[in-house]
Amino acid sequence: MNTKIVSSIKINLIIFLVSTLMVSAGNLFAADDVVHWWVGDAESKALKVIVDEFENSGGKWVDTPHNDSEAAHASVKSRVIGGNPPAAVLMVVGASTQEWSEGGLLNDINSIAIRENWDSLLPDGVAKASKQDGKYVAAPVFLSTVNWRYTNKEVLKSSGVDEPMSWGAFMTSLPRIKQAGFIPLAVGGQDWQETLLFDHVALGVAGPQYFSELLDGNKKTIDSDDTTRVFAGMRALEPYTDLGKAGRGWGDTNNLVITGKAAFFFMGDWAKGGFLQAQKKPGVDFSCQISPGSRMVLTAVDGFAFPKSSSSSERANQSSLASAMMNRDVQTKAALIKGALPARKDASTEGFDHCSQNALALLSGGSAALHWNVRESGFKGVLKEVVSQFWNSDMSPDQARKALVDGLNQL
Amino acid sequence: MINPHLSMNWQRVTIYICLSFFLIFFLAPLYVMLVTSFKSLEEIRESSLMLLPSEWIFDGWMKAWDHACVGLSCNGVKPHFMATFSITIPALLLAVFLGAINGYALTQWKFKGSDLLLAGLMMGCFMPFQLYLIPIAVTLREMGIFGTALGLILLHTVYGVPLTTLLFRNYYVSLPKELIKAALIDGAGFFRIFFQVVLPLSPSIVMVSVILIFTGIYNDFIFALTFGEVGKQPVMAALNNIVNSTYGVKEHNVNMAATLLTALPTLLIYLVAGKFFIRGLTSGAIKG
Amino acid sequence: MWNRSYLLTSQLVLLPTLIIVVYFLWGFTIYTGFLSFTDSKFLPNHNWVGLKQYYLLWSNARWLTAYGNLFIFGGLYLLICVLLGGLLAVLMDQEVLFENLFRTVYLYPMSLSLVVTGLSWQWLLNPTLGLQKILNDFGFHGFALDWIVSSQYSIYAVVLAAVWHGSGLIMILFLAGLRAVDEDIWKSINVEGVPAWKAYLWIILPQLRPILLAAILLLTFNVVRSFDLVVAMTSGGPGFSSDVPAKYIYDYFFSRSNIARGAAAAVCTVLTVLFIISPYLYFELRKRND
Repeated sequence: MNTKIVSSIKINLIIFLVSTLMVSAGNLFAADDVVHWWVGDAESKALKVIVDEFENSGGKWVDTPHNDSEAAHASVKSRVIGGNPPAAVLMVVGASTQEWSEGGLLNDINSIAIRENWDSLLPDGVAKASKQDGKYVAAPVFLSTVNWRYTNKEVLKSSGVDEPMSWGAFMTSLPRIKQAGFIPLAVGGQDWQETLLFDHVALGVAGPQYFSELLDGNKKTIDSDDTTRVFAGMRALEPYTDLGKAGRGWGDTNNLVITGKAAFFFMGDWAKGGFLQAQKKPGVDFSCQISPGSRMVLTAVDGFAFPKSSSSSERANQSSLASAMMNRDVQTKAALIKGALPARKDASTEGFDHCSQNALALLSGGSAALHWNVRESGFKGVLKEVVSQFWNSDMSPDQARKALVDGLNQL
Repeated sequence: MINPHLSMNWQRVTIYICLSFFLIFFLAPLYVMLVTSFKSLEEIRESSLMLLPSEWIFDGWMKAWDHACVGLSCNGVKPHFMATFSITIPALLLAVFLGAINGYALTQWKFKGSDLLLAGLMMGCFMPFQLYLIPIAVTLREMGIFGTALGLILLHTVYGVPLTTLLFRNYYVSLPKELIKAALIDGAGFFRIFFQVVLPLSPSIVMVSVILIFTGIYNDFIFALTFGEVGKQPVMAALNNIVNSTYGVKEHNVNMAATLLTALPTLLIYLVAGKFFIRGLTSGAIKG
Repeated sequence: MWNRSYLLTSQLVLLPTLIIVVYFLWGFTIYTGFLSFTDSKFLPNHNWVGLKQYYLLWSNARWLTAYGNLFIFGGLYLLICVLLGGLLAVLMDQEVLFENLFRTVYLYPMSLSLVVTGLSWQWLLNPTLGLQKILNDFGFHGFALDWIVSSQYSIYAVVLAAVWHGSGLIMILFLAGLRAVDEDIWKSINVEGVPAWKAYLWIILPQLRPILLAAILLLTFNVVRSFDLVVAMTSGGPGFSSDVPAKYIYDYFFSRSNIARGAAAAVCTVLTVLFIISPYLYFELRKRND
């Protein structure tokens, strides 16, 4: 008697469950999106060039933007664990791509690379960084230069200060700018931004030789008085920053300089796009110089890596993404918008402003080093953690040096 | 003490001053967000945060609804609302149904091990979800539903059941046994008693559970962030993404409008069905 | 015969719940515990390394900050919520006009998510935008409310937001308790001529101990899950001064690709909370049973 009700309920329940399962089974592993953090004005426009090329060649771009690299990579890593990775993910090409690849997380894109003969198109260093075990695992798009100082010329003029070309001159200019009522130094509030500041101080206070040894993880150099001096030099900058810096993104921080609230900003070449978008002229309204007093350019390669997937349609999709990203015209056009250099050797540098030309000249002159962001995640994790902790607390320079040494020893 | 009447008055005045002070404390964030969301960007920059807008502008709300951007995607919070509801409603129904039938089974049909099951469930209410994230990711991968709405429905059901079970159990414990007995003598079966005798007696606890679970799932952040579907993340994860987007000029009016928009559903439920909301929050406590 | 089939059905309907308890709650807990003894990085693996992750965890400055913040945040949040909630409940118990209005306003934050709470306080506490600017504009130039940008005080900013969100709940619980107090007790208090504040402090409130227990358990639940609030409000910054275990665990799982270390942190967090809560729970419950 009651069994009827029971069984009808059961049947309904089963139908319900099965139907929901079937609905969802339709979307299984349909993720073919591209994860990135190019969400600034200029960056989005540069990305749009790649998107258009890819879609013109018949692909369908599914966009998954994140606010920063950390959020983007956290999401991709959880998706990899969950077996639902995106088609491509923006990366700093080098140690990160190699780490991911060693973990068995990436598809190689060697077949398209051979077909298009990437070896002959890319500078040797870039090609090497994009490979793991001789196979391409990343499509390099830009060669970014990281250690720029952006200066609002108008602010300097109002403060009666000439553009400082050495670290000493830079330091003496700060109090005068502050007195004139401006923020002397715009600083953001994320660990990687704070660590970019550290780069400049290290280059300015202890010099390029010291800095490249530090980046190589030379223990003797790291546990030297130079490190203490660098941290002390960083502390000396603090009075010249503003209160609003906590948690501030680089875009907002850049705007302080663009809109004439602040004088200086230390940031990578991607910040230039913001000035250009605001119709500011390089060399007239603002200027870009590499770290005051040093002649060393720190570089990183931006590109896309392609998480592992077994379906052949997905792999074909990844190949055509890679091909669009490596397209010469795309790289030229996108680099102009973003303010970076194209990864390809044969991309035209015509129309590049003096900042980019300056970078090119320094690069061909040979005074370049790979930035810490290209290093493996353990090393850069410790560096960022210690610098950020030091900058945001009353830790002494000596304690910071010790924390850095201990942290690296524990890796 | 000279004039007891006067001192009484002073006491009352003090009470009202205190109460009003805290009234302002609790309302301030809502007020600031509300007035700011209707201001133009220039006005936000130039005038005080506390002042009413000189001109009421709805642009912020329009933009927050369907064209606020993160990078190239300019969809506002609208698609995320749809996604959230398509997850919340099935999970809500499942969790409440399972909780009700559990509560009934646990209180009316005592058997060995039921206390153990209950104790095991209670633990689930207290653990940080971080403890479960990696096994969840692995499980969802094996089931092939990572990053889908179905995955989130499963998670919210699984982690909602402990709460609903406890709510219904506490309610059904005080159900008169005679009712069940009478139904038994009539020859009604397990499910018939549940659907025709027990469930009709529990509209208020169903209401309480529905509101509590709805609020919980709707306000969820960590599952939405970690396991949400690409491009269709539930609202709280999307909101954080939009508001903490760090590029260009911060559009405070858009951000605050987006925040208010996403806060609206649960706020409305609270205002309309506050009685049940409060009972949901307190029932575990009073009885527990 | 009848009874047996009913019993069987009741056990059958509990099957999904049994799966939840055994697999999704206890099974997952044990698996995460197991991972903390491995060297899992990007992906979970099963290479046993003993206590290595725990050793690394406890020598990591960021973890020590996050762990300390668990106590600062948890302690202050519980304390202030209970004090403020208690005070509001007592005030509301004085037969005030507009009681409904006050109650509705005090409790509405509870219906908002912690993300919304964090975002709105992030704006209010922003020194260049929020309260500090407002008061400076009014002429209070020395006024500084820069907690959120100070690595020393950022965690207190998070406490403030959490208290705003949670104290209404305590108010409601206490108020329900106060309303249930026996009339006769109030009568005898009035006869004895005890001042009202003394009566509350020494006679009435101590009767609400069971409610206090429940309140503390409910709030502890929020402390352990403080992830949302911190992420929305400060992202753990400046530096990692307002980091909490919940965020540390998440970052090590997914940003830092160090699943094992995150798992070790999760185990330590859960054990800590259990260590603090269980004696209290035991003590209170035994007393109630006596």
